[in-house]
Amino acid sequence: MSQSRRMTVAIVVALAVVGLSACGKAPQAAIDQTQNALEAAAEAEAPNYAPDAWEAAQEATNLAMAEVEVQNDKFALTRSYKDATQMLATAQQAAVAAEEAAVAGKEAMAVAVVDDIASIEANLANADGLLAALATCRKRPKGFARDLEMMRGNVDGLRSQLVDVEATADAGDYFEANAMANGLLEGLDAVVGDMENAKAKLGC
Amino acid sequence: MLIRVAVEQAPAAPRRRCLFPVALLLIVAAATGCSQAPPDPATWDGTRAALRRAIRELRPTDPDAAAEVERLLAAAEMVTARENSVSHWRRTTGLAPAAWNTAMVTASRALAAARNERADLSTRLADLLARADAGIEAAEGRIGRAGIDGRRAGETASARYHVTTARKLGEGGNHAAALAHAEEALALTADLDHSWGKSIERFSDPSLLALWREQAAETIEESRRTGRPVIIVDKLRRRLTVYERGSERAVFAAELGGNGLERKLKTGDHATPEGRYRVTVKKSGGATKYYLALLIDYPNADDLRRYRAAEAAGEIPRGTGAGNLIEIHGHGGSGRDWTDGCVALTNEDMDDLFAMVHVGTRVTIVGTL
Repeated sequence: MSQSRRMTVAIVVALAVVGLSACGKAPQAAIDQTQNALEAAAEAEAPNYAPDAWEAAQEATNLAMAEVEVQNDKFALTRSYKDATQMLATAQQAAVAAEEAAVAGKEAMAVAVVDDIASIEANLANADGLLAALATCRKRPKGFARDLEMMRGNVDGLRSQLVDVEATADAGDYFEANAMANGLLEGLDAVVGDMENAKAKLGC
Repeated sequence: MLIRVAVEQAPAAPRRRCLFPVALLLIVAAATGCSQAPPDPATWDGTRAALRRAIRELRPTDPDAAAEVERLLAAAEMVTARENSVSHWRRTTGLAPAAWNTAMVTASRALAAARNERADLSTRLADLLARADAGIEAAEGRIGRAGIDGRRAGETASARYHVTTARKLGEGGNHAAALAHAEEALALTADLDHSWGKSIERFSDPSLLALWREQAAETIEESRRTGRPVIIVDKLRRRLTVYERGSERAVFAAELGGNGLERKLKTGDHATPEGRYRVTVKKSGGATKYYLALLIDYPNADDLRRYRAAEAAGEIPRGTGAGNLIEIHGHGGSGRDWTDGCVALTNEDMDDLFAMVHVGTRVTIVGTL
């Protein structure tokens, strides 16, 4: 073998080694992107508002990172991050989906709370109307003024709780705000029911 | 000689060449035999699912523990993947099971702690709600009674709302918020109890009790002396008793004014008077809109003295008036204190009472006895 031929073979081998080494680098950018997507999903409260999507993203990330680790453990020349890169991309998509699902879930809950508050306001307006109708009722049985005072007290007592429901919703705690709003609606339903019965009984 | 040796040694070389691969194969086989085959990845499916359930259960109450289990789950996946990918002789027997076991043990401990805490919170919540329920029931029983105004009725409704909300939050697993609402309900009922206690505070005043007992004794003595019926109204007990010849003849449940536990001072205060009076008119038919009525001589001299003193002290606007038309009348029986200051009985009881008394019958109204 001539010296120039030996030189050519050495260069080709060196290039092959360099090439193979390049192929064996961990896909750090994809790892970072996946982790960032997962953090964004966590920040969007995916564990609370989209638990299934969040679990899917966690699982996909775990498997992808396991594959990265498997390749890291291999001899440099035999490493291949092709599968890992693909799995990281899948995990990233799952994390983005979890974030989107969380945003949508939270939004849906916020809308439900806003609807509840609107229902409470409507019920309070209805209660005020009933109180006004009862107050001007011609038929006034004994103790009617006192009954009316109690009814008004009930309505005012429940009205005073609406501020807390709104404050809790404003703070973004939609789960608690939803429970509070439903509790308030139940209370108002009972009070309004009593007033409607009284109004029907008195025919006013 | 040299030739013979050469002839004898010649066949040995190919035998040695054969032995080398055989030995190598034996070494590889031995090495392979030392390490078990990696378990099927599906082996861990059950453990993986259990850990996922644990994470989900832990997350709302102990997010740090949930994150730790998630980290250990990821580590177990990593070890398992590595063990499945490396050559047999690089595999460490038991490494993957150990990783899964660590995750499971951590999850189990965290779950046990979380469940204990949840059980404690549930017990505390149940206790608070039971106390709040009892307080609300007591407060609701007083609604309509003298001493409870509309504001107090509203506070009772608010307490009920907090209990409902606490139950909803507790069912949803949000024990911290549930406890806060239960405590708010309990605070409201405690406040209602306190205000109720204050409204009936004067009924345990020894000097007032002595005065009322003296008035009642004098009234009973009058009935014994004259042989005629007398009426004693115990406001706190909502009880009207008829005595005749010093002995109890009849007892009726009574209802008071909307503010009936207070002593009447002025017109429109819905309070029921306290003192010694007489029946001045017996009303029936069209004379009363309350079935039957016994008008009494409120305000008496003592009432007018109190009224003038309060007017002079600027406690009530001048010209308000001490009020009048205080009666014992029918249309009662609702279980509420609803009158403008009168004492109400059921119509049936009023029939009986009306037949027993006459104009001039002594009526003594006391706070309690």
